[in-house]
Amino acid sequence: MKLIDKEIAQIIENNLFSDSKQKFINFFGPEQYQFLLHEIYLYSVLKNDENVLRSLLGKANYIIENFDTKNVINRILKDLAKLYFSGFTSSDIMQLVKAGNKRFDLELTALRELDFQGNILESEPEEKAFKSDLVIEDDEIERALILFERQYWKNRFKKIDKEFGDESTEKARYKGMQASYESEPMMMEESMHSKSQKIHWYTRKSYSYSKCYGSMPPKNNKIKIIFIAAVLVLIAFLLWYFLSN
Amino acid sequence: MRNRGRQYSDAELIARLKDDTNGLDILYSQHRNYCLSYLKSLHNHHEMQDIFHDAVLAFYEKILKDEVFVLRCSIQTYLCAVCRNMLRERLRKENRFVNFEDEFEQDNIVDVLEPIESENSPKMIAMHKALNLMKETGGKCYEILLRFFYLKQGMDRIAYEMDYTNSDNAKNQKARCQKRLKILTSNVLFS
Repeated sequence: MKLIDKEIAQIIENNLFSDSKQKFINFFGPEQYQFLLHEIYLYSVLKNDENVLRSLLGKANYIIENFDTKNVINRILKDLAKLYFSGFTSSDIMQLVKAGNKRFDLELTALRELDFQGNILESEPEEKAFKSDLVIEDDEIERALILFERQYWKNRFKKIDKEFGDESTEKARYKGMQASYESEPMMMEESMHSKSQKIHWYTRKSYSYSKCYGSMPPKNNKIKIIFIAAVLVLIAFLLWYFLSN
Repeated sequence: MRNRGRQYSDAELIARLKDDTNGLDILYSQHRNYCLSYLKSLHNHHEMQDIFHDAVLAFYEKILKDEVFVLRCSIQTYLCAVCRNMLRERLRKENRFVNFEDEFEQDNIVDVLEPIESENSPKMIAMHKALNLMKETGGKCYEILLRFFYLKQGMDRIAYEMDYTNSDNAKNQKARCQKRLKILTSNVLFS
């Protein structure tokens, strides 16, 4: 239930199985309970109609509350789960439970007119019937999944691109270059066998560096420092020489 | 910024790609700058980043789907070569031709992202919404469909990795999930 919408989760928790939650869990286990909530959540997201949801939850609650022998509840809940699983129309729920045991006819008549709080409903909320004539081929699922996954990752890459956008381009390039050098040894270990090939690879490395940066790598800082110190000493000497004369 | 502190070796990256999806973020961050610089050195195309996205996905799909695939060069070389091929392909489609002579030419890597025509039919859009719902709400359905249809994993492997007792159970679950996808799609389509 990690991603469930808080508001919907609250409605479900407050209404469905509010008293009979433990009973359900005892019979079917916590996983099945989570599964049912998950399915209800999907339904509510699709329908986006709180009244329909409340009505359904109320009916479910009523069924669970009123039949307490294990076999009966077992069967009803299985039917109910099946219904939640396959389209969620309240009239379907009634029909399936009805088909499960004729004994429930009288209760069902009353059930049709009750909401989850036991109030009489004026009219059944209208729901669109499930269109079962839709055909989805396997290759269509495959295509949809490929497109969906690729789109998902591209969106994620774009977020990373934005993070990189803050960094100065030159610095970023240098970091990328460093990373490439660090991963290079593996390639050499795997595919380099002769000395001549190794020489070739080193050549390629310096070639690609100059290609990306337009110049050779920066020189050693020590040389720079020595050079600057020598210039300063020279200037000091010249100053001393001219001033003393 | 992601993964600033550490650079992963190729072997580590491949292991992470196979183990968890976070590996793709790391791979992307680690090779992004170099590959974009490389692409820029070839041709200053306005869709360089998009080309790189496709190249990374091509590599990702190759690693996950193709069990006989053996990487014979570094990931970076591979990505650059795929980027070059994709850039060439785009320029060809734009009726522009540029002859690239560069160090990756001789590696002869021709893999590109498997072309899937983007369908904007109402059914496909509804399926996308349904898949999105499945993924957002968690549960095993999205994962099992992904493994079977996208990653082309066998039922035995799916059963093992998703903790089903046997492949028949996994198969039943897959069938249920397929049915659920159909229902969700139908509900989106006709609501």
